Amino acid sequence: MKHFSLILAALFTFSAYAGDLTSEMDALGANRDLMKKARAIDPENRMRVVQNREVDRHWRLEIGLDLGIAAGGDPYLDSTMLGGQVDLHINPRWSIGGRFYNINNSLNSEGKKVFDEAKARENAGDKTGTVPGLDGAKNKVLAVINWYPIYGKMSIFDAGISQFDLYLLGGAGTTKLNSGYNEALITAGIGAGVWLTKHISTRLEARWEGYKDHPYRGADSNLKRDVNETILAGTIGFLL
Amino acid sequence: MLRTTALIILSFLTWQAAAGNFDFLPAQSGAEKEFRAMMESGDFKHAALAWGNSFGSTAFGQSQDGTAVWAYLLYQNGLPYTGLQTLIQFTQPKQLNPSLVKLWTIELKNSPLIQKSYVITTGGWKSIVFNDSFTIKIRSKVDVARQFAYAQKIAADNPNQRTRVLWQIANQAPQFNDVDSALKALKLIKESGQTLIGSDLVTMTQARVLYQKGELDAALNTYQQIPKSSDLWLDAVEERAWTHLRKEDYDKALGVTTTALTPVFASLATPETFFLSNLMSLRTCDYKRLFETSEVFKTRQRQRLQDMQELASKGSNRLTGTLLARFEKNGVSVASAGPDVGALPHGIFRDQQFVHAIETRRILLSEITAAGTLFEDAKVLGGNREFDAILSQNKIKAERLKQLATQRASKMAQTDLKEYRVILNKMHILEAEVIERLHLDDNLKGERSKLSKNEPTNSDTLVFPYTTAEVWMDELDNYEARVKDCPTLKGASL
Repeated sequence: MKHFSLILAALFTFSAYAGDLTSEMDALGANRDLMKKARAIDPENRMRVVQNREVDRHWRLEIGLDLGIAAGGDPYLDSTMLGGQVDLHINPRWSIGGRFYNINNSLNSEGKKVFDEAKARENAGDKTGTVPGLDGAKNKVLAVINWYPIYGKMSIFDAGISQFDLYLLGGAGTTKLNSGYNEALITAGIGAGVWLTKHISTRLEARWEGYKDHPYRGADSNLKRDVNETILAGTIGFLL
Repeated sequence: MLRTTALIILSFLTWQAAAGNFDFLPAQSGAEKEFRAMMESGDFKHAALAWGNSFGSTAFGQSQDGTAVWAYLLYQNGLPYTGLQTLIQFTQPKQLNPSLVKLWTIELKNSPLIQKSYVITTGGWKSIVFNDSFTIKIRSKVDVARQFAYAQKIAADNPNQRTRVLWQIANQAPQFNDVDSALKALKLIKESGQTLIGSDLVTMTQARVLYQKGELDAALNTYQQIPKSSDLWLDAVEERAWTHLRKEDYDKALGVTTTALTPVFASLATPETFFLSNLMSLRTCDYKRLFETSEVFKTRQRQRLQDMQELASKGSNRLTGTLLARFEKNGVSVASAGPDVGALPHGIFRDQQFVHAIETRRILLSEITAAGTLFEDAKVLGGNREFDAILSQNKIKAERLKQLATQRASKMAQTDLKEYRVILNKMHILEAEVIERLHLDDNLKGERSKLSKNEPTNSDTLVFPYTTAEVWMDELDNYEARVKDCPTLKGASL
């Protein structure tokens, strides 16, 4: 009986002891007026996040496979590009690289219409109509320099966080045309490089390209025409 | 590939070597001959099933050699715990055939149960593997020297055994301020190639000893070596914050404390982390933050406090059943506990008694399944009472271990409640200090120092704004703070 009483007493003591803790916790910051006064004295401390880049880009080579489309060039052609690129990252701000694209040109719907109409006229014996001259690019070789002034990071479906850089690029090279001519090519644009892992990257790029083509035939075949194209390209890259 | 091939060849050779060492087995009757053939070919399952018919009632079966062979069969048939217990309890190496001693010596040295001290060697088996470090008591430098000498005598090819002794030095020597011996022991452990103590725990202990020694920069560097993937990482973060505070580097202390108090770790943070934050706020007169942290403390820790109270008084709480079931399935770890980790006492994952009880229970539960299968298979051969006995004994043992684990958790909850009491008292004292300052301190009319300049960054670092609204996991431990000192009237007049 004595033991039983002792156990009961111990249990009650413990309950009281435990109950005290909850009320002690509630008593923290219970003086609302004082909290208000304290909050008014804001020391204005500052905090920021400083973190390292996940991917080392000092003297690092990146090779990539490119897929792109060209818009705004010859009005009768659809051009798609498949190519490769090599970039040497000197540091996280600068990289230099080379690019090669193979171009596939095909008549767009407007081009088909014009050509079909010309063919129909020709079949009808009308010799006055002319077929527009076309001179799509066969391939392009470029040397570029990239500058990465802006960085950021993004959460990809809450599965992971990837850092990225927005970059500006400029470059020059040559393009081989279907007419057989080689012409100088210049380019400038912007892009985003997303560093998915330490070894895999992806790039999205929009840039302007300017070169001259030779769409004219016969006596005018030496005449050149300015071509201004907008290139939209995506790249899957591997950082070695 | 080369490593895998080498391992396969080594395993094959080991098996071959093991499979041929049973010349000592009697082979007079047909059953005995058949049994020996099975042992030599490594067919331990059928040998175990045939044991009763071959030797169950023979003199050899009842001898220590027979017991050691039976233990070996259990060990090889998914009952390592029972096998080892049988061996260690009922045999002595001096009484055994040398071939059996040789066989068991290899197994004992390789057994994870022996290495992790889930089964403690006793009697003559202690001279083969000594794995009971709980009895080592170190109270003076003389004891330390004696234990170092003892560790030195242990063969270099048994680093785990040596580590058991060195680990006791590392943990007990700092209690009488012999930090140099502790650091020496930790260095030897790190260099030994042991697999007994997790490298993170060794590093953490080293950092703590360095802190105790007052080598704060070295301690900080060592704490930094704990990877984010470690269960000890959050403790390391908190202790780093204490170290910065001791250095009076409030900028860094605040940055690190922000990580420790992030909502992501709400279920893992201890009350001490909140006290640390408030102490730092008091030192820098950041009363706004102090009261805000107290509010967060109340919000986040209320449920945990209730859970600890329930566990301490009743021996269980709303989640212990679920959590124990998870530990039985996946082992004792923070990851197994998942988001319910707050319902358990802090440090339970490193508590030797709790982990030992649960992990041994896991082994026994697995052995109950294995013994059940063997029992069913043995029925074809007329049954085997031994497996039936093992089944019922292991069930009792497993239940007992569950009780032990629960009791231990309850005791640890009581310790956590004591910590809550101490921390709450301290936090109330801090608040009282703030109240006094707010009412009496004329310095509050003064000015604070200007913020220090941002630390310079380079192209390898990224800087983002800090927001309390959302936590980016990659930003943890990357917070950089600039803290103003307390206001002074002197500063204002200047």
